[in-house]
Amino acid sequence: MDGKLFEGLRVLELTGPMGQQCGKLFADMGADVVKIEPPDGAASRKIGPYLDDIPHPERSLSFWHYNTSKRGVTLDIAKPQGQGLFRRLAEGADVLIEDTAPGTLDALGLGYTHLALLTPGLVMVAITPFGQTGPYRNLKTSDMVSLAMGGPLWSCGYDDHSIPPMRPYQDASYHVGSHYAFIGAMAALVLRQMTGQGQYVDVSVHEACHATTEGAMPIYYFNNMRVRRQTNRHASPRSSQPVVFPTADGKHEFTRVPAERRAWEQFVEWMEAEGLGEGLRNERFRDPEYRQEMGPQLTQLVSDLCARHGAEELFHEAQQREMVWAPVRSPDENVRDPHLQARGFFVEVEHPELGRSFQYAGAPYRFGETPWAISSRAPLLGEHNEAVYCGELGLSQEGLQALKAEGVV
Amino acid sequence: MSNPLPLGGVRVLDLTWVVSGPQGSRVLADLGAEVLKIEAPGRGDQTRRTQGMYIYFNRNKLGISLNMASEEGRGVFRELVAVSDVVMENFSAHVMERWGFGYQGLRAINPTIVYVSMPGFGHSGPYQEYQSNGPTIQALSGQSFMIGRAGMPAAGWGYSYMDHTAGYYGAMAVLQALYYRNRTGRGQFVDLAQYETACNLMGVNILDFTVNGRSQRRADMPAGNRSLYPPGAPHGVYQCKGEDRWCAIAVFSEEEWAAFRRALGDPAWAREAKFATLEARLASQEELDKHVEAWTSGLTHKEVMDRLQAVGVAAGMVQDPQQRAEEDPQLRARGHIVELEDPAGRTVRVDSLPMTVSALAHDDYRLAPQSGEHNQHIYGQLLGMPEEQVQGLAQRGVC
Repeated sequence: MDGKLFEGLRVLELTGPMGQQCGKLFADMGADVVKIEPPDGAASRKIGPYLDDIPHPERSLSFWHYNTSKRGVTLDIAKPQGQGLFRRLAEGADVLIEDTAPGTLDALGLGYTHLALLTPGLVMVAITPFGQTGPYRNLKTSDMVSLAMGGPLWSCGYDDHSIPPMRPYQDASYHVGSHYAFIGAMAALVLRQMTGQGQYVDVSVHEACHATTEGAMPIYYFNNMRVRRQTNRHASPRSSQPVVFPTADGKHEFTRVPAERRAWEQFVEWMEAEGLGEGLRNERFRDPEYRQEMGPQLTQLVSDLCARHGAEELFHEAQQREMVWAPVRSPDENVRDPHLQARGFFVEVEHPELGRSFQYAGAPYRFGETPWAISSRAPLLGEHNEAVYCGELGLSQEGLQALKAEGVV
Repeated sequence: MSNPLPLGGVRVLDLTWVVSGPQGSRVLADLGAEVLKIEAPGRGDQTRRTQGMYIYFNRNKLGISLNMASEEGRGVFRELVAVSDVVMENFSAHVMERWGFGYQGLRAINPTIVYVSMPGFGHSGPYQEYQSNGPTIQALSGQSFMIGRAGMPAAGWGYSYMDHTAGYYGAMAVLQALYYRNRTGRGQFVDLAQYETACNLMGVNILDFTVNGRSQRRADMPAGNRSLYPPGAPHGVYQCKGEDRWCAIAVFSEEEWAAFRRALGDPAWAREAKFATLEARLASQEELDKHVEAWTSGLTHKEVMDRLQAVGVAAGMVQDPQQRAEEDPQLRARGHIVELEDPAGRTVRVDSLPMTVSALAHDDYRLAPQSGEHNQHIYGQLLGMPEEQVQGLAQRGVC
C-alpha cells in the first residue's frame, strides 16, 4: 500500500513564517495544501539564505524548505473581490491554517464565524504570538521575542551569567507553535470523522513555548526553585559538571559519565585502555553516589580523553560501549552521515524552473503504509492561479486576466 | 463533559518512559484517549525520582504495573493489545521484537493496531543499536551547535527540547494513523527516529549546504542573538536593572528603528550616519548594542518591554519560571496553568495542552497515577480477571 495519508484532504494556508511549518506537515503527508499569498508574495519569501546569495522571492531557501509539496495562489484579501474568492476557496476546504494578527480576518468578514456558516465542517487553526484573547494579544513579537517571553531563553546560555541568555536555533518558536497547531488540527479532524462538525483551534506561540521548557516549570511548581542556565547542560537550581569538551580535531563532544552499571564497567575498560583508568577499579566507584562526589575528577578524565581523539571517533567508541555520547556537529555535517545515508533520509527534489535538483531534509517519521514524501518543490508565486481559479472555481481566462489587472491576484 | 472528546474511546498502551514518550502520550491523554501507562512493578518510570517531573508529564493517564520481562507479563500484555487501539514506546530499537511485539507480532494479535516506536535512531541503519537522550540528539543534529556566541564554543539547549519535540511528533503520528484508520480501517507502523526528526527541523541549514555549499561551521557562527535571516539591528538580549534580568529586542524595518529612537527620547548617538540605515546598523552592531544596553540597564526589563511595545517595537522580557507561574497576565487570562489536588490535599500545578479549542476543556484534568493505581480497574474490569488472579499476578511480581 503506497497510499497518501491525507488523500482527498484540502488545506488552505494563509501564513507567513509562523504557520508555514504546520502546512508543510500536511503537505508532505499528501494533503492538497493551497498556499494563499498576497500578490507580491508571502513575507517568508523575503527570508534568506537565498540561492547563490541573490535575494529574490523565488530564491529563498527558507521558503523552499517550509513550503514543499504545496500549491500556490495569489490573492489580495483586502479587496472585496479577493474576499469573495477566499470564501469560495474556504467552502471547498477541510482545513484553514492562518497566522494573521487577531481580528484581521474577522474585520474582513472572513473569520471563523463567517466561514463556518458556509462550511460547518471547516477546521480552522489560528496561530498567533499570544492567542486570540488576553491582554498581550496585540503585542509585537519575533521568533526571539517569543522565546524570551515564553521561557526557553531563560534556560539557554552560558555558565557565565554576565553573558545574556542565548537564542535557540532559528524559528524554534515557530516550530513549537506549528507543532501544536498541527496537533490541534488533527484532533479536530479526528473529531470531525465522528461528528461531521468543524472546530476553531486557537494556538498561542507563547503558551506553546512556555509548555516546552522541560524541567523549568515542574521544578518551580513542585520545589519552588528557579532553574539557572548552564553551558550545554540542563538549566538547574544546582550546578552540574561540564559535559561538552574540545576534541583533538578542533570540534566538540557531548559526553556523559555513565550511571548504569554495565556502561560504567565498559567506561572503566576504555579508560584503562587509554592509560587513564588508574584507581577506577576501586570498589567505591561502583556506587553511583560516590561517582557523583568524584564528579570533578571524572570530568577531568573525560576531558583528557576527548583531547586525544576526533569527535566522530569518540562518538562511535562511546556508543560501542552503550554510552550516549555524540559529536557537536554543525547541521550540514549530517548530509554525509552513514546512518542517514543508509536510511535514505535526504531526498532529491527537482526544480524544473532551474533545470536542477537539490537534496532536501527528509522524513521526520516513517509511516509504513502511507509514506511521507515531498511531492514537489515550493510553489512559484501564483504558480497555480490558473489551475485553482479557472480549473476549480470555474473562472474564465479573461476573468483571471481582469483580476490580475486589478491587482486581486 | 457532554461534548465528545477528539480521542474519546481510544485506548493507548503506553510503554514510554522518561520524557519524550510520556510527553507524546500526555498529548493523547489530554485529547481524551484512555492512556494506560505501563510500568515495571516496584521500579516505575525513572522520572518518579523527581516527583514534579513525573506529575508534569503523566497527568490524565491511568497507571498499571506489568513486568514485560516475564512470560506471564507478556501474556497479559497480549490480552491488552487485543482490546487496544495504539501501542507507543520509546525503548531502544528491537526491544519489542525480542519480546515478540514487533509490528508483525502486534498485528497478529490485533490487525488494526497503530504502533508508534520512538527510538533515538530508528529501526534500521548502522546506528540502530546506538543509545541517546535529548542532548545526544541535539548535539548530533546540529541544534546545539547553532546556539551560542561567535568565537565561543556552542552553549546548546538548556534542556531536552528534542524530548518534547519527539513527543509531539509521536502524538502527531498517532493522530494521523488514527485518522487514516478511521478512513480505511487499516492500522500501521510508524518508525520515529528522533535523530531524523531533529535533522528535519534543520532543513534550511541543510539546504544552505546542499544548494549553496555553505557550512555553518565558520568563524561568524553561531550567530548569538543576532538575526541573520531576516537581517535586523538592533537585535539582541540586553541587560536590564536587577540580577540576571534581560529584555529581548528585535528591530527590522526603518519604521521600527524610527519608533525605537522615539522611545529612547531621540538621543544624539542614534542620529549618527553609522546608524542611519539597516545596512549601516548591521555594520556597526557592536557599537549599537552598547548604546542600547546603556539605555536598558537603567530600566527594569518590564519597563523596557512596555516602552518599546508602546511604540510598536517587538520587545519581550526574558521571563523566569517564577514570573511565568505567578505574574504573566496572558497565561493567567487564558487559564493556561491548571491546579489539581494531590492525595495529600496539596495543590499541584501543571501546564495545560497549549491550545484553546471549543471541544476541549482543561477543567477536568486528573493527577498523574500512582504506579499500578488502576490495576484492579484494568485487569479486573477490562480484562475480566477474577480478583484472586490479579492478586496472584501481584504475588508473583508480574504486576
